[in-house]
Amino acid sequence: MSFFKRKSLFVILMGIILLVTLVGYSLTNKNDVSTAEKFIMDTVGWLQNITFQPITFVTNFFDNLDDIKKTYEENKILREKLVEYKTLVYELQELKKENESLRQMIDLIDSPRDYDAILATVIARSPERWFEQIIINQGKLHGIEKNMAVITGEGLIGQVTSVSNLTSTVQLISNFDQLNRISAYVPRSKGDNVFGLVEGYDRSRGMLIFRIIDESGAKVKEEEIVVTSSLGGHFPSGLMIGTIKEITPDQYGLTKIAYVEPAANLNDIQEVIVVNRKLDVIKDVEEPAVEEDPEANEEEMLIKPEGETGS
Amino acid sequence: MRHALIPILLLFLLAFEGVAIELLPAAVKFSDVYLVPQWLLMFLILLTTFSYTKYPIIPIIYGALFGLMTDIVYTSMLGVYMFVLGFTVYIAQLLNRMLQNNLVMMLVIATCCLFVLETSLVMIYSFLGISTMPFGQFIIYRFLPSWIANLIFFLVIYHPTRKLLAWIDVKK
Repeated sequence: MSFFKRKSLFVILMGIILLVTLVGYSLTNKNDVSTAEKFIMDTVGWLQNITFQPITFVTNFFDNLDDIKKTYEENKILREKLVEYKTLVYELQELKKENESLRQMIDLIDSPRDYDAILATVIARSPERWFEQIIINQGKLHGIEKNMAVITGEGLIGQVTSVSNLTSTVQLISNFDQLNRISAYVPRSKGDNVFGLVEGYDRSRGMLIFRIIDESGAKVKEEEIVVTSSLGGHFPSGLMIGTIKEITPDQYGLTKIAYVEPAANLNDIQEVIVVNRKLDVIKDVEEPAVEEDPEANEEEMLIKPEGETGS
Repeated sequence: MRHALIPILLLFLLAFEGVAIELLPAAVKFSDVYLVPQWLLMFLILLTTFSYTKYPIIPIIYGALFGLMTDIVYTSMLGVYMFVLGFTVYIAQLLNRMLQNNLVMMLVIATCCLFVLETSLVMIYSFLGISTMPFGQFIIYRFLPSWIANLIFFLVIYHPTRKLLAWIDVKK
């Protein structure tokens, strides 16, 4: 066969071997990015950053022209709302003070709800659509670490999967699989929260799959909201995930699966907030971090086996 | 020294692929239609046709190198683009030997290469469990729209790149 020469056939076979090796490497090594990878991500990220900004400047300019037309009417409505907010802000301050003093009384400093927010702009999206990844313009130098939650104003959109110095890659929740599950719960006012795991994404429905683990309390109904739980080890508690739209038993009939419509719009993401929870993050080290309050220790015990399988 | 321009251009194309996808209107970006920019391949086809005819291995090395960089930056699966892009540039060279170098034939070559690239990608990714798209759907929703978008890009860069490559090769 003269179409493939012997020499080139040899090279192609070598290429296939290299392909299998590299795929195997990236399937097993999910922990850290090597220095070479970081360097390339930084270079490309820098280029994307300097090109993205002038382009968005121009597009924003035209958007602004549109906005100016609507300004007068919006201004009227906003003025009315502002009056309402003034009273709300005062109430909020009072509540904050009260909350702080109450916390000090029980020696709890960092609650699982607290987090530091790092603002970031989306500069690129993976052209390969099967990888629902976005690249943001904040990296290690800005304090971003692997596994941090990423949200927009509406709700959770994903998780940081790799970090270089200037940029980081965020995997969207529409691309989550068995390897990165989110611990979540349905909050209830009486305290009988329903816990479960967000296990993946149903593409045909466009909804997240939420497996209900513990349904000892009242039954889950449709239109209830699902939020993150701090039990996952990386996320703060109480980030909005979405609302339940449909509940079905799973294929073995043992547990129930709820389909959750994501609260955040995953198509149109421009500004995101990377969430750095204040409570110590559980790392994959043998020695667990020492926590002061007993509750957090209990959480760790629950988390540990999951952390080991994840590594 | 002019040859150093080629990797710089490829690097820019690599960076712009992601930015271009992000700048698409949301209605297109997240619809059923998959628009996948393969600008690196389009440039590499022109490169292997009009330049480095004496050293056909160099475009293949560029293909593998920038394929690997695509893997690192845009996907979490190393090696796939590296192999597929290098292989497709090789296919382009084989086709070049059989067909003439005019614009129509170049469009045929670009179409064939795009088909080889996209089918190998979908095969490898479905083997790895990343894509679950049946082949018929892949043709309609991914290959055809991407093909049209990439051919437009190819037509846009055809003449400037040809002139640029002639300018780069002038001293040799």
